[in-house]
Amino acid sequence: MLSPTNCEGTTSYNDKTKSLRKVSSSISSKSSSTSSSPSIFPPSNNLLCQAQQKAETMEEVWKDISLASLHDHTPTDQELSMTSRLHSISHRHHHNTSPNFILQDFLARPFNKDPPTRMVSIIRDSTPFGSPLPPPATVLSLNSGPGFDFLDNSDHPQRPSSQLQSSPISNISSFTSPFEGLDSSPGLPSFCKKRSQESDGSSGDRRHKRMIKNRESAARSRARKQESPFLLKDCCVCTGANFLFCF
Amino acid sequence: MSRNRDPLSVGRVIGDVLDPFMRSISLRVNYNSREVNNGCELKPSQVVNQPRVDIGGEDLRTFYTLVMVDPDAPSPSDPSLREYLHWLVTDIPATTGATFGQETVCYESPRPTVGIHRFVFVLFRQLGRQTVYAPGWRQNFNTREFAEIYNLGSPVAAVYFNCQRESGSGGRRR
Repeated sequence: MLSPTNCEGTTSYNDKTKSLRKVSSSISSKSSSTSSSPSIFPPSNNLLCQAQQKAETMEEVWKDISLASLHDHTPTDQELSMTSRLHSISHRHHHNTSPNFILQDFLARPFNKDPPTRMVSIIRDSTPFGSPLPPPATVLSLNSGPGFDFLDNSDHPQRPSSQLQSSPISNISSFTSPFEGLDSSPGLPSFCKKRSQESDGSSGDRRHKRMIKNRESAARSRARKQESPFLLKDCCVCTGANFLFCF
Repeated sequence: MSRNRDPLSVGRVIGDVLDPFMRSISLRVNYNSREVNNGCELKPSQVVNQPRVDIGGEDLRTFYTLVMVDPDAPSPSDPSLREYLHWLVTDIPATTGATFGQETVCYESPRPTVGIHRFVFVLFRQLGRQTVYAPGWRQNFNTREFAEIYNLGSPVAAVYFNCQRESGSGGRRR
């Protein structure tokens, strides 16, 4: 390759971003820089920054929760211990003895009363927020999908729901384990398997990336669309002595 | 000029491939008598063979280099092979065409598989007759660097067209 001294990747990328900024600064006053990919239009610069900031706080939350889980649980006994603890909680507080209680009920409980078990204390420790209930719910709801709909629905047959009893607790502590548990048990729908790959907290990331790529594609489409009125003009310009200064 | 309506800028050729420059030489590219205008759409079947290229200028002793690249290879949303070199012709005397120059890198037909690609023709003025070495491979060609290495300076002309796969359905509503 013809590049003189340095490897192609980083330097040419830097040059590209510099020239992009030069060009784009004439269009808009914003000049924030991005780290992942050279974005062409200023608005998407800001979006990428915001997306990255949101992703970082989400990352912290996920880390806290999964770290808390590592202290207390062995992967093999997890489900059984969860189930037994859950039953003990429900019996002790006489709150909800139905096996199909929902996640939200479980979340509501430990913050109203003193947590009787170690397991419940994890929830407190793991949540980085001061106020108990809403943040964990929103945190978890980001990953919500078929898995959580499953939990809410009390019409499911006995067997899957008994598996799911364990999952709310393990959801709070470790977000990968419930789906692994679900994976190992037979008779569950296949979409749970897909969820296991996304549940490590990168689904928000992927959504942002997808959104940004969509916007870039839309920008390219708009750029192509604007071409037609100028084709005739360009024909005239390109002949002989005409001079045109391009910004 | 707060908003630039130049097709090369709007289509982000200036930005992705080139820096702003001043056009000074006419560049006409014709595929089977279909003239390439900035942003026009051509099918791969229409660009299979190398086009007829006519350049302006006055002095037959001035030589030009023509570069044809695809900055959207392999896909516009993930241009990891930007820019893919399709054609490189050097020592083209002014007022003549590409057939009078040295074909350093032979013409490769555009065959976009994913998305709508831009194919850019760039014309540079050479300082004199010079030997240009073909790069080892076509992908990840860098037109800016190439111009720097061979002291070609700023481009003197450029034109681009859009191309998607033969059975593609993207682009403007027809």
